Amino acid sequence: MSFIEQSSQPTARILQAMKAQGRIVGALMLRDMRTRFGRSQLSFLLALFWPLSHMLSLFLPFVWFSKYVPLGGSPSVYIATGIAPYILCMYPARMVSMAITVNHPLLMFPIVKTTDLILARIAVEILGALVVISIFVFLLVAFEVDILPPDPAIAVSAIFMSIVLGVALGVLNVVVVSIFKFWQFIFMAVMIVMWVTAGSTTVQFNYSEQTKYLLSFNPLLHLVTWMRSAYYGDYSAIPLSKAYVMGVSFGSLFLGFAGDRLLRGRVLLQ
Amino acid sequence: MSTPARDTNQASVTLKALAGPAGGALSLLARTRTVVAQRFRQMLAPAPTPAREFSAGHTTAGSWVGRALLFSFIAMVMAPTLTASLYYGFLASNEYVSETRLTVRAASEDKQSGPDSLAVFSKLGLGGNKATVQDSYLVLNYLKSRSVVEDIGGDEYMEQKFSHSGIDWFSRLPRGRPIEEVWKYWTYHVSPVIDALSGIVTVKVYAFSPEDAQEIAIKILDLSERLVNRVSERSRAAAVKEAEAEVERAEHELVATRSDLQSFRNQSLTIDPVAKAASIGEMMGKLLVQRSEIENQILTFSGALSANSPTVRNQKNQLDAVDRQIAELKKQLTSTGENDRPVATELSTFEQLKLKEQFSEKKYTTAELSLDRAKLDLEKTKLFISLVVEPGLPQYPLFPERGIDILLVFAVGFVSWGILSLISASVLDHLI
Repeated sequence: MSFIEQSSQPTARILQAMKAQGRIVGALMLRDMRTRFGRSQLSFLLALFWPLSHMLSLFLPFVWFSKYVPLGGSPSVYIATGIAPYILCMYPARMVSMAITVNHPLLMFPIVKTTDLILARIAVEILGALVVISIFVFLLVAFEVDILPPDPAIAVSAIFMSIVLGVALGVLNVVVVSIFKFWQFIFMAVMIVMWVTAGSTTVQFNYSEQTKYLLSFNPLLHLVTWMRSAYYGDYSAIPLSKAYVMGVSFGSLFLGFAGDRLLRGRVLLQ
Repeated sequence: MSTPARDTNQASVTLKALAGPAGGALSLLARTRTVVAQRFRQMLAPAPTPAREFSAGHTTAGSWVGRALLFSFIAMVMAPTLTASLYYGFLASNEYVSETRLTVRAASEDKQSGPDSLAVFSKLGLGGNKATVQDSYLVLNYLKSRSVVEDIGGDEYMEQKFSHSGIDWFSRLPRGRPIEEVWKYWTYHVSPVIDALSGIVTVKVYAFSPEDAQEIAIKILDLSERLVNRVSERSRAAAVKEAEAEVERAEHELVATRSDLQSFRNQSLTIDPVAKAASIGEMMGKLLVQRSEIENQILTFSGALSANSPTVRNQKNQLDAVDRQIAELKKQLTSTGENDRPVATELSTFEQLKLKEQFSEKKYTTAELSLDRAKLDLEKTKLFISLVVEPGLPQYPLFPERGIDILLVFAVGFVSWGILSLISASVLDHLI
């Protein structure tokens, strides 16, 4: 470190720190992409293939066996808009939550902090999720599914918030996992419950007020509703609250980063 | 400084001793608590980054980070919270909520049945009392739409209720805005929600005085009622129109068949070929009786008198005359001659026409009956709004919820400041 000239000006030093941060995160991203599956240049392609195949394996059977169209004219659109938020949320959440577990040897370098590992994972996951949703949309368009929404801004913001929620839950999970290792499995169960109650492939209009109230705590259901409001106008299984999704997302992002700052990966290394 | 840490360590030891089988998990918990406590102290203390160790000479290094934190905290958390407190404490106008619940019902309970019912009913789905949830959606959509704003009085009415100077500047509806913006404002102040199971629509009106809230709620009820009337009137008009058209068609048909029958009568110069055939038959019957009587007499006298006696000759002449008459009558009934119009042919044509006439008569009466019934039943199937909860006069302003709103502003500020400063802290970890 001593070969870099120290500056006494705070702004210059912050600039230097930012550059260092950028380089570190960039390097970690490159490493992360190459080491997802083995040590291949193509490993990131495999990492993209995974959520994509998950998405298609949920999508195709439901479309194939759907006997009626719950809403709108096309079962493909209805089911795709239900599945996309789930996949876009779950994979970043799961992958980010493993950010430190997988890469902890890198913490041997004193300059690499746990936050850097998390930030690098977040960047990679956001890119990955964007590629996955692009390929999915491209495939649907190629097979002549009318997936391009009448109101693209709403659909894009729903996609964006799904990724943000996934990333935020992932960051919170990093901390919780480093305290309780089995949290990973509990979170999987939570995610499955969220998926089942999100109404991705069913209709949820005929529920009682109380059930709807309980369901409205599921952020994924809000995301699915958000996504579908771009296609179906006045679609509302529950009263959509974008503020709730944002609250859960940024709240857990904050808690996650704060917990990370608090622990700095120590528990994990013990 | 170290006392609390020791305490927690002791606590963990005690826990482990106490807990037995669950000790593993508990000790993990206790250990976690220890670590969290240590970390928390370290976090509150200046971060022991390499930067600090290297720049121990710079006395300013720690203090400008602290200052930046403080200033950003003031800017992002304190200032918004203070502003919100001032706004909610002194400026924000009270909002009163008037709630009303309504549902749409059809009056008719009886089902359309019986042979006379017209196909029109089943087509329009007017019988019975089924479509009420859908009709509630009708009201829901109307209350969310732009046309309800126009119907309630548009810009003028809304400005009168929401633009006066008694309302604070942020909550006020700016004057002279296009209808789209007024409509958006409307959706923030009138919230209709439907319960899909019962079809009950709950409408909440948020206004800045109790009287306004109630007045708007009552107006909304009135408008919904008018909408429902409009819709049922339209379907009613359509059904009656269809029935009337049916009656007209039947009438035309009846007139046509009657005139066919008339022209047939004029051509055949008979009023009723059936009667004619009957009279011919009767005559023939009489002649046949007469003929057999004459033959009897001839047979009786043939033993006593010679064949050339005047009596016998006379009787034979009579027999010939009767035979001729019978042949003539037979010819009238069934002849196939070119200029002749035999009664048999006339009879079949006449019967067809008569049947047609009967059919169209029946059709006409049915159509007339159905029209009457359509008018009657539609009066019964009329949709109407039934009130579950009348719009009340609010007494206490439920909104704004000052404490919660201020807390929300604080939470949003704190979370965004927290995320930003934590990421900045991660950058500063790389301070050289």
